[in-house]
Amino acid sequence: MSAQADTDFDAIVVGSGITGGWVAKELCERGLKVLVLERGRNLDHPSAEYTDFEAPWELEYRGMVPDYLAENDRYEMLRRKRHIYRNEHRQFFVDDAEHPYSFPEDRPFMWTRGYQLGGRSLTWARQCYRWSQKDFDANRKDGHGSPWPIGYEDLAPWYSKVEAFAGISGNADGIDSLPDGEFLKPWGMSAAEDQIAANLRKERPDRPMIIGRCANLTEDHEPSNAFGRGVCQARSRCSSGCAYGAYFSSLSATLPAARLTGNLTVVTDATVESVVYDAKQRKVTGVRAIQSVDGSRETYSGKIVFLNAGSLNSVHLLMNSQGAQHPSGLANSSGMLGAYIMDHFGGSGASGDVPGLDDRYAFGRRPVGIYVPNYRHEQLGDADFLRGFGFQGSAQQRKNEKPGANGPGIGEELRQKGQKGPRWRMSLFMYGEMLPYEDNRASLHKTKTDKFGIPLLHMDCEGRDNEKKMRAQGAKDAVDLLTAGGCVNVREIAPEPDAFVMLGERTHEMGGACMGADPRSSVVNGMCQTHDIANLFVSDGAVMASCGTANPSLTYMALSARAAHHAADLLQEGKL
Amino acid sequence: MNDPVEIPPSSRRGFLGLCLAGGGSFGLAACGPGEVVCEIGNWALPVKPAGVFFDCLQMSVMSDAANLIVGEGEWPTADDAQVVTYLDQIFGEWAGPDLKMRMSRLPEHLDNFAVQQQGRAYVQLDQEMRSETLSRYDAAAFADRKDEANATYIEFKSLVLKIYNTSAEANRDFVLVPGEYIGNLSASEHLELVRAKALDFAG
Ligand SMILES: Cc1cc2nc3c(=O)[nH]c(=O)nc-3n(C[C@H](O)[C@H](O)[C@H](O)COP(=O)(O)OP(=O)(O)OC[C@H]3O[C@@H](n4cnc5c(N)ncnc54)[C@H](O)[C@@H]3O)c2cc1C
Ligand code: SF4
Repeated sequence: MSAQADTDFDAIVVGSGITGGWVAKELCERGLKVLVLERGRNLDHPSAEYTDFEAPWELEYRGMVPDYLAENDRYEMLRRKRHIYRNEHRQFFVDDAEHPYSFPEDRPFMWTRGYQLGGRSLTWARQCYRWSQKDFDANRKDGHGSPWPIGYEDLAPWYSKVEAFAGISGNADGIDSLPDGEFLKPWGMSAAEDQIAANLRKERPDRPMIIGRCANLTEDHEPSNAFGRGVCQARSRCSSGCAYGAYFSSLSATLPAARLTGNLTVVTDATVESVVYDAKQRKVTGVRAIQSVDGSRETYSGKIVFLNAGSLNSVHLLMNSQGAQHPSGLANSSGMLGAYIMDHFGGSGASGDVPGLDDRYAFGRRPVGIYVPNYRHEQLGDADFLRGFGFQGSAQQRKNEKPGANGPGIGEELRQKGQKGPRWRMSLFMYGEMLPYEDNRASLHKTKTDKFGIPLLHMDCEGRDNEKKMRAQGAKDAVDLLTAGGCVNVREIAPEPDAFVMLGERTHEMGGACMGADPRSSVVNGMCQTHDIANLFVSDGAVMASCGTANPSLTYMALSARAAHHAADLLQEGKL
Repeated sequence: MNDPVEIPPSSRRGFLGLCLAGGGSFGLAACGPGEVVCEIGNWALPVKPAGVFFDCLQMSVMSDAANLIVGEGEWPTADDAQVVTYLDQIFGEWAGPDLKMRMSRLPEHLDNFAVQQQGRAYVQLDQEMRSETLSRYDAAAFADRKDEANATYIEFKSLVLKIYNTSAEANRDFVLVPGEYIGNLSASEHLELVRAKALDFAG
């Protein structure tokens, strides 16, 4: 298959992040001429914008984001993510002031984006977990949301495929709710984590604590050698970009693989504003994009279009592609476009001192923590909520040689405070599965527009009673796990029971174009193909019918690779 | 959400003019915009020259406070780690107008407290009294964080700790490229690895 002109392709992929990278790679490897359109700037790999080789004292402003930005209400939401709001990788995060969206004043929504070639694959935390059949059963089991039209067995080979290429480290733990995969050697636990995990195996055998599985190469990985990816050096500077290419990103892995085929064209600084629909053919024929440099508009043609703009942006794009035949957005005959917005939620957890290991030390900065998979798929006696939760966390060593965090006291007094307690402290943070609520919605703002005149995306969502109850139980469970794990001085982290549950905080926004078998209640089918338009695909988090508890990107990758092959098959068979 | 606004880095000269107009501090009148020498008179604390942004009174008081916050012992002092020098270098372009205004008044707040507590300005107190005064000021600040002067001091302290803790002097065992993670080592095994791999080992 070949491209006819510079603007005419077999396939158009909107977005170059984790999912767009996968679709581009798979379609290019199938021989299609693929155009990736990316609204952000071009980045090379390694890029001059990476700061991973700068020591703390070499970083501009020592990593502190300029204060004048906060004084001007810049990065309004990112500022709330204090561990991420750092100057050395600020260039990879979107400033809400530059790319605004809206929400009701009393129901804020956090939308963390990365507009550059590679999207958020540059800054993600790389945790990769397969979903289990229990996750795919959730909607059917309790009747919330649209039932998944696919199950674990449909995705299992695709999980294997993406793991084998990306390079995922992990242990074959043999846990029902967290299927094993094709793993590189796992990271080691610290002495403190090992001790707690061993205690939990005895005291809480249904709640195992395992080492996190992540997309960092822990050993030489043959498929990555072709792209010059090296072994991870345990620096934990991943979100600054990695010159070794040791973690999986579109820049280090999928885009180079797509380029190798000679079939890839990438156009950056091009914001797709709408998908072009031909009512006669009942097909999409391409997309319209705005060039950032001069605001000019260009139409690109393709036989198939994949939306991989990062869940909410894909939904936004479909809504903004409204026309006479589809006044409420493209592929929206169900009326469900924008519905069922979800995210993992947290807010609760616990921390505790780990006794008896003051003479044990860790060397290196491991780029992943520990994981307690969801053990609450089945309704337990103490549950007054539906669905379940798991935990992520790690044990930290107290840094006795430096003054501690800012708190009362100066000189010796301040230093002493930092040294109080055993050497190790363990923390657990809950990751809950929220219910899909139809009226947790994204929509086009009625009056406000962006600099190109495109209506802003308006988010109106929140966690409800079910999530608040689960959050409260999460705090209790975290205390119990740490106590059973042998920790002392355990401190519960529990927000006020009624405190607002903000979505988007966990950066796992999903839904809005949910998958389902029934075209009347869902937007795409089990192959990520829109029910209404055969040659239009969405394969990012927008299609998720429920949100599970495990970090979702590995599932997005598997869905994307599967959808890309399905589309290529249909094209080959002349069915599109 | 507002439109993005770039704030041009203020010049010290222009800014201190503003600051003086806002109600001068003890000693500041003798150390006006663009001047680098303070009228030190009967100061008891070590005098620092004016920096790029802060005048010599501010440099001297802040350096003294930073040293007291970090403390003295077997570790580098705040002066060794050039904490206030670094703060001064970045402050003009890093801080916003509001923080610039507030931070410039820190010596004034300390003076007011010192006069109240000890009957003399902060710069006139000997080392022991300064330490005692700052300690009490610190406790009062954390007891009422809403007060603007207290919040400014807490912000200053946070900047001091961040700059200190990220300095080369305070990180002589920093390993830029560990190459591996091992989670269960004895102190001597750990030390051996750090000694072999640290950028500038001084342990
Ligand atoms: C700090 C952080 C930590 C995370 N940690 C994890 C984790 O540990 N595990 C996990 O599973 N997930 C994690 N995530 C989430 C993960 O990054 C996302 O799920 C993933 O990147 C989604 O892939 P995507 O391709 O859909 O979107 P993105 O990676 O966001 O890519 C979307 C791309 O589309 C472009 N785009 C958007 N709109 C348009 C348009 N109109 N026209 C053209 N281009 C457009 C964007 O610029 C971007 O490049 C994390 C995210 C962050 C920010
Ligand atoms: S920890 Fe590994 S993947 Fe992350 S920046 Fe360092 S070498 Fe790269």
